[in-house]
Amino acid sequence: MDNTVDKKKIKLRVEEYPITEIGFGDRTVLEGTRLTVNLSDLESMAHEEDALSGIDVAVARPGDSVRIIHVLDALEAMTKVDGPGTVYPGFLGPAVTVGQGITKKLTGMLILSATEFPEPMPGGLGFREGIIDMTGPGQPYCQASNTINLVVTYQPRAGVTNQELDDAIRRTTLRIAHAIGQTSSSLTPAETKTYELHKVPSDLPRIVYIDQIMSQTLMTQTFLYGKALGDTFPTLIHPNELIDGAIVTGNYKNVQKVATYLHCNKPLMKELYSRHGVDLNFIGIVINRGHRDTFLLKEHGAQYAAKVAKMLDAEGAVIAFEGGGGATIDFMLTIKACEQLGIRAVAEMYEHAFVGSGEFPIVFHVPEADAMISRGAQGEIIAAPKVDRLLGGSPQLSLYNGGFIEDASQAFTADSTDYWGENWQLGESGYVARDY
Amino acid sequence: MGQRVNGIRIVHYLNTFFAGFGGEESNDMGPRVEVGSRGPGQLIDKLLGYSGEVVATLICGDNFFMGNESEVHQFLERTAKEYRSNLIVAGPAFSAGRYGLGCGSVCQFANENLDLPAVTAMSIENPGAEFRKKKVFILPTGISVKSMPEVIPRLVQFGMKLAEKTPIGPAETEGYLPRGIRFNERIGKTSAQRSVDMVLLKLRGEPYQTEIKLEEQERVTPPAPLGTFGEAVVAIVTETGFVPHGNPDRIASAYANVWGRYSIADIDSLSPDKFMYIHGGHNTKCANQDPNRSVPVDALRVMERKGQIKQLIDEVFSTCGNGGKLAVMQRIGEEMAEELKRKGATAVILTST
Repeated sequence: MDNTVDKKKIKLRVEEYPITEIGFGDRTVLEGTRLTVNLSDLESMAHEEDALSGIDVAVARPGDSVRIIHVLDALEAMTKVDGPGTVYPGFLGPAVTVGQGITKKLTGMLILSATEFPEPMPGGLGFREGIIDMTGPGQPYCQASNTINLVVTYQPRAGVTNQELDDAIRRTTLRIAHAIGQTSSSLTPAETKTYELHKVPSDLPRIVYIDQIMSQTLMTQTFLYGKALGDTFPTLIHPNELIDGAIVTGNYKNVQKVATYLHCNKPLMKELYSRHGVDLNFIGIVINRGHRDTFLLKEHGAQYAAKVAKMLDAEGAVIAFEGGGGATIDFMLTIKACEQLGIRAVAEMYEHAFVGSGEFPIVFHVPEADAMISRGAQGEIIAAPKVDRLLGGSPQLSLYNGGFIEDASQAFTADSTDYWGENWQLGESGYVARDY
Repeated sequence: MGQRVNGIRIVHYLNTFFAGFGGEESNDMGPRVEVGSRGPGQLIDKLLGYSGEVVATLICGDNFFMGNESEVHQFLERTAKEYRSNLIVAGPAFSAGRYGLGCGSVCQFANENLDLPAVTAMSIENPGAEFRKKKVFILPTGISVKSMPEVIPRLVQFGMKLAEKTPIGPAETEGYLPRGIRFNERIGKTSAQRSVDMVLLKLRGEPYQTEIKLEEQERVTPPAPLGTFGEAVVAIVTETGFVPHGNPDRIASAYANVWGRYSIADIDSLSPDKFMYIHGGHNTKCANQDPNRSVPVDALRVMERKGQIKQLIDEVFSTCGNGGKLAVMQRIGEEMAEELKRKGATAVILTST
């Protein structure tokens, strides 16, 4: 196998180390498929941050009677051993373009961060809860419920602001993800995958993925190479950059959000990659910040995204978006702009209307959206069972619809919109809504 | 016949034409009941075999039905009870408009008032289909009676499912007109796989079927401008989640289903010490600092003093529109409008986010 980096090619080798067990011990070490974590290694990383007073660490396995609440993010443990930059560039190293060389990933496990923010948060700026149930009827509706999770719950130091706490937790969790990824450094991988958008026969259709991302302000931001997307214009990104962690989330609209590990493993990106050279030509990803402030700005972003796609000679586009409500307008205008430029568009989304409600499924649409994939309708009623262990901090849980649960380890009635990353997991679990 | 008494017992609704009472001249005939099957009902009866029978046929002229709906309903209720019916079948009505409306009405009454399953069949162009498709099971037919031999077996098959309480699947697989209700199912392919499949079909010009069909929504036409404001009695209505501190009506910050009315009598300007916003979908920081920015009481009081408007209504009507369900918001809107009318409002400023 060729171990050297060909600087002319954007080619990434991902070496995978499947994890089947996580335990605690004197050393942080990977032996076979068993990861042992030394708690004091993690604690010392947290101590580097003034905003943090301490951490709790626990393991949650699929099938365990465990509920995790107050969750911020879920990340892959990974490290870069060859090629430019670092994993999670812009945070763990300078904003050097990644996507080349060799990256090692621990698979089948995720690192979860959880906390409770000290300051009150008004309206849409608030943290929106999302439940992760490792077993029971809610499990197919939440992300990170099929992996062994190392759950790190952070305690803030008195007097810190939400922003200080959020930034400190993000830095620390990324460092933990890297440190645990490094346990694989000298080991032989179980599996190796190579990612390259190599030249393919010219008759294969050129498909672009347009990915609309949320990034407004604290609690709803997303970082590209360490910098919040803010009001930036649509741009082009190579899928290998995403695999290396070029996008990190700080979005806590937890039902709609794309977790950092999902940015690294976007289902549409993986599907297009797996069919590159088979029945299509995957030409890249255009990212567009959605939820723009006015209709004119939404049009601005949509037009620009479609234009970038057109300049790539895209013939077809698959489009998905993070968010709800107003972001649907940015999304629909992008579909319209693509079709107007002759790019045939397929739009994938969850349906806003609740299951069985008889409501119109979407808040805004254009006639050009004539090929839509449904991830299913929201709001399936779920009897959340009593669980043996509750992770994430205090047992009190505030639901979006105004419901308040005094002790979230007990049984209560939820609906699928109370689950973490539901808008995406619906699609991955293969749900679809049908007319009755 | 004796073997069938415990099976499916259908009361079949027909108009006078299909029951053999003549054409136009029989349209004014009132309801009557015949024992057993008539007209198309005979084919239904035959197809049911040992599973059941058409126990009675309710017949009515289309004109009579349109003018005397509740009388026909009463007849249906009596007949269904007397014959211990467990399924109502109406039609098929094909493209006959008044007949289609009658069939739909019979089915909806059976569902909602008699707790009996019901099914009818008609052309999608029939006004009865447009009017009732969201309420009852309607099987689509051609426009002409010629398709009768093809329709009746579908009607019987579907009716048997209803009577036997077999769960009814999606409209597309069961063959009824979609009622505008969506339920989830789990299929073998992820949304990403299906998206990529569909874009390739679309590019190749091959047929594909969108999974979300978007019909035109009702459009609300904005009313004409007032012209002059001097005589206007103005009310402020808002969906911004405006509430007094403590949120006395417990308006939810998302998916709200209640509204509140909050006095602004003798208030020249809304104080942040008394009012706030509980909306969960937008940044309420600025409005919480100065509540007048989403509910403009201060500006309207100035206009009132200057005589630019006649009067500001002394209450603000408020709910939270975040994620609001259309049916709930329609109800809230109607309730508010009625109250505003009672209070003498001639104009409304509706602030939203």
